[in-house]
Amino acid sequence: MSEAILTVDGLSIRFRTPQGVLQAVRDISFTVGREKVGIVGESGSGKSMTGRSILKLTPPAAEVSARVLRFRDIDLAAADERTMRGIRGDRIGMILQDAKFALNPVQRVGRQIAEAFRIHRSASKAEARERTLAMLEAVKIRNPRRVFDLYPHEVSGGMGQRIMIAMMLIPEPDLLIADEPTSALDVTVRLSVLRILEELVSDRGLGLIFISHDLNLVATFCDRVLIMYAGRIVESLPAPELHRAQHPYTRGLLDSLPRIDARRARLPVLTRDPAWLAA
Amino acid sequence: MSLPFISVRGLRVRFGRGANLIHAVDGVSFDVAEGEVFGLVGESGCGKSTILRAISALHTEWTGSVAIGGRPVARRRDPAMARIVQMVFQDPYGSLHPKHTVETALMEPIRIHGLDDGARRIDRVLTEVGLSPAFRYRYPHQLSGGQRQRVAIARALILAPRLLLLDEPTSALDVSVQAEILNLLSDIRRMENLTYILVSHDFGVIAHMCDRVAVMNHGVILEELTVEDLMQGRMRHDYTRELYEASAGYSRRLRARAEDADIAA
Repeated sequence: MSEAILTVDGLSIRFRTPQGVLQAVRDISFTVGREKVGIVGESGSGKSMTGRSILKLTPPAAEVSARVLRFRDIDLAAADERTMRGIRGDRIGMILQDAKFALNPVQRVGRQIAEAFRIHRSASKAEARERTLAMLEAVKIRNPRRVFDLYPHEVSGGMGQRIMIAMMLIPEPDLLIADEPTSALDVTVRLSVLRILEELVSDRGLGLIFISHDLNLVATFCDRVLIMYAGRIVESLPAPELHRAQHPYTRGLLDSLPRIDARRARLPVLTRDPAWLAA
Repeated sequence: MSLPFISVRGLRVRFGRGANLIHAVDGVSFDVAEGEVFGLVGESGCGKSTILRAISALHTEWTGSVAIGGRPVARRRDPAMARIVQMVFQDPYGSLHPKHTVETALMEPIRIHGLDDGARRIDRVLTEVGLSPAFRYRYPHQLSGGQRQRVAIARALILAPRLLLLDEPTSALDVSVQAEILNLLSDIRRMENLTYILVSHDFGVIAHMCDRVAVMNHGVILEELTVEDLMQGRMRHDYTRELYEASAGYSRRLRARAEDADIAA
């Protein structure tokens, strides 16, 4: 692994509710270099909240604390809203699960991508248009000129996700946070989106945080995997070794997946050990 | 296979007209034996859910013939057929009325079909799906995703149907909860000798649950496979193989193939 792009040490996220304090993320630490880091966990494990906290996009009620939250040479923990606006989109991009909801429905997609470029770089309209068309080509859209003038409802799910990736990559960020980027896509479309992400990571040397609930996908796509349970990272290991995971939670998750090659009368059901919370 | 329990012949469902005409299901035929689990697999828009909606008369505009237990399915809502055929939907967050308690939700079919002894029936199905009878006073927001799907299954079971149509019953659930619900569905099928038609895009779920599976694309069945053939990778169509390999995750080989597809396109 090369030098760290992102360093997280002792990140905690709390919500004060009338029912008491809800600990969404508990004291987690990790680094991201020029690599694909997968964060897997079930709903409520804190994986999305972790991704959002890096961009300080947690809900106002969330209390975020960290010993270190550093991106390159910027201390994110101490950064004010003005600094964050300069970072979001420009140096750290974020891709969400359903791209078509994240796009403005009443604006042509080309204009939205060009806007992303013009906000972060002082460029003429014509230059932004050229860059947008080049970027659409880079995400393997066959007819960029036609797609430039489409509205979000006129594009398919896979195309929408490519447009979203194009928009996030046009300011050439150092780090990309992808929160379930392919969960809403069909398997064959998923592969082409993953391939685009993989190429961009290796060609442009950016770091990728890939948040997903899909163990098989993360094991085969990412370089490293962090497994989250109840706000903690219970295990961290190289992706190809995921099947050799030690933690009973990871083992339980892997066992409970229906397999295509071996039929079992019953699927083992995960039993949660309260000790995992204390560990 | 003796006389099939379900027989679908030349089923066609069309939406729209003129230039917007879509053949959602374009001439589909298959048989399912009693007690069998039949899978329908394919990508979104291939027509797999539309078939379930036609069989259950949620869609009434279709052509072809469908017979269940020797009786033809009418193209209108038929209470007698509803007692035989029940459906479980994908999203347990959307399929339960947010302002109805579990008891209200379960009482509705009993009331519609004029059955007696509602309280006992509710207790029985709740126990069957692994919820204590105390759950009858809960609202959906007081339940987890897995518990909601159990309530949805209980609602489908309360009329003692013979056939359950399962439309992606676990795809909105976490994998550990998915395992519980799949086990529950297997247990219920064995106990009640039910027949299932299971729609899924996940080959793992299909291989775990089904006896036979039909692979669909663009409204037609490409091929029917036994689960043994599926598990051994003995499929005839390249499309099936592509889906099968893609379900294993991301691999270099698939990446190379996607590259070829991009160049060809």
